Amino acid sequence: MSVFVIQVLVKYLGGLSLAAQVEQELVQAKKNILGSLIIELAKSKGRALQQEIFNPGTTTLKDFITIVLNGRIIPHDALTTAKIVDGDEVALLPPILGG
Amino acid sequence: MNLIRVNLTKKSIEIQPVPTEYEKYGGRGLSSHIVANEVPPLCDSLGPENKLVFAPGLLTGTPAPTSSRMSIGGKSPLTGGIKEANVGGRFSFHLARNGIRGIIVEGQGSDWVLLNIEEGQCSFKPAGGYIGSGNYALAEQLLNAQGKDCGILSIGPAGERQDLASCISSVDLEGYPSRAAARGGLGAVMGSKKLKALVVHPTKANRVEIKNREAFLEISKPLAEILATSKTAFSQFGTAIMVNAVNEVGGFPTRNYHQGKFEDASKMDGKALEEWVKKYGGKKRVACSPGCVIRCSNVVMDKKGTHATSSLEYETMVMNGANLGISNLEFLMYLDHFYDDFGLDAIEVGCALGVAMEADLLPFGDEDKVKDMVNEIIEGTKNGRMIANGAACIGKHLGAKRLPVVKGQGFPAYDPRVFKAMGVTFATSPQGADHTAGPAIKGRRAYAHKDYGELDQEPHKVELSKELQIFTVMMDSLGFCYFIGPSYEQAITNVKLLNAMYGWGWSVDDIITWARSTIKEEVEFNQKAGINKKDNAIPEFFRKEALPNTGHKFEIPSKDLENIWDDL
Repeated sequence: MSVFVIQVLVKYLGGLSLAAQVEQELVQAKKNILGSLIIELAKSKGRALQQEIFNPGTTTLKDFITIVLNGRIIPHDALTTAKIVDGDEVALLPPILGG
Repeated sequence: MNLIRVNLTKKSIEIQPVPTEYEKYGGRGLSSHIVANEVPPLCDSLGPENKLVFAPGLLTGTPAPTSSRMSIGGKSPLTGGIKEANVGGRFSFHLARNGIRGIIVEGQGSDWVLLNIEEGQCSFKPAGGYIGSGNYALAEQLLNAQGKDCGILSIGPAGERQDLASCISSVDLEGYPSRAAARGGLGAVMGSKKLKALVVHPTKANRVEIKNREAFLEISKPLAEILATSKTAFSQFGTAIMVNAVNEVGGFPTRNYHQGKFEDASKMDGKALEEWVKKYGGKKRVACSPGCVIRCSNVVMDKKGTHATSSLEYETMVMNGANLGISNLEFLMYLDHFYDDFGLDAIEVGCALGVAMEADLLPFGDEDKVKDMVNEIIEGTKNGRMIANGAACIGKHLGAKRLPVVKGQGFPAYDPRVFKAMGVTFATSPQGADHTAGPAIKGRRAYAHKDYGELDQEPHKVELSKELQIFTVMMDSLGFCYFIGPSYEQAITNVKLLNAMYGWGWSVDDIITWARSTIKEEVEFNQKAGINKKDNAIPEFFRKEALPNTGHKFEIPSKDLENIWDDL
């Protein structure tokens, strides 16, 4: 058992909750990098979520997917450097299309 | 296709083929073109010189999916500038199939009337007996008398009274007057003309001609399939699906824009609404107009299983929920029904109530006091009338310092400090603060290949808003719902549809030029009406006050907003 546990609350908002089949969950991250967590999540949730958030055949996020870390929007180009720590909240947002 | 010109002063009706100068216009393009050509910019919006234009889109009445929206235009009594308010319901579809490209209502009547359109013909009917009637009772009476499948546009008591936040209501596919051409107070213009309602009958002979039907269907069928399969979350949860996402990024108007996150947002989100609808026997996946495949509307029942309201939408829920510190879904249903029945713009009045709470006229979060204020609106007390005249009116009267208003029109439910490009749209649209004029939010890109940056960052947001505003004119002019997505890529599809229908041979550049010319006409009308570049401004408190959760301010330079339309 590792003492370096990074447990984060992950929220799947809007239509992404349908693809992930869950609205939120506690997840143990394998690495402390936000971008790695997103890839882990997509792998564990399977094809439906991958299709929603990634460009076809890649692990690159679609432009209109928003990642929020503790209430702050993280630009896609900062995902590979953004650090996560135990207790963080991560939200995956679908396109916000109007209302 | 014909144009109906109704003069209420002379009690005359002329039906003529669409004149050459108007023949390539529909929807917003047509309404703005007519208003710019025919309405004196300095006229009294509530006087006989103003005109009201009802215009289906160029594709309305065809098999193109989600193309049955209508533009209603005139000089707005709220902004003092040109206005287009967009609405769903049955009316536009039936009007187009009657062979009518538009109705121009001129003058001012001495007696209340309604207009009846049947098999391409138009006639007056007396409407004195309906005065004082709410939209719900009126719709029921008219549908019973004229036929259950008719399309109806009407005003409620607010429009009769010429309250500046009054809307024009449209009967939906379920038979409820739940859709609203809400923004800009065009209900007051209709009331000033003593026009209570318009009724259009379904036609036996479809008069919409498609020159190359095969080519048209080759484009419209795949478009329908894509829309139906790509917007399923919208269909399931309605526009309330946006609640959690907008709250999460901290751009959720809360307590008159003091905060961007609402602690009780989950009580009024898409899931909460969906559960309510399931539990009490309402409907979801409801189309707001014929041929809509997105179907994001709903019918909401109360706890007794009787109709509470249709359709409870994101904007109404936020501006009258979080914006007032209220999260009670049942209360929001009650308010939504009141607005539809009395004929008021739920965004404008929600915004006005937020300003009134800010100024201590009533406390944030107090549902009972809001109910009291609703009664004051109905009774027509001084405060009630000022609320019904919009956020600017009540704000000025109470000396409120934080007025979320541009060009006289209250803000919709996006905080511009986070939704930067939406803020640009609010500030610069010729329509005043209007989220539908250039819905520059996450997920919308005017050109797929362009990188406009994160939604909460300043770079490229003037460019994004401007491009989306132009593409939105295109959507509004074709009768398309903007939820399809205004973009260059959609413009390619739109040109193919127009060319197949009308045989025009247009290029994508042609349609962009055509949309730009409409914005140009709108801006020029406003300039002549006294609205100039300096009015392209975001309220100062959005620049000075940082949002508590995120620290965001609106920092796009004023000059960039002022000069946005310089190259039209």
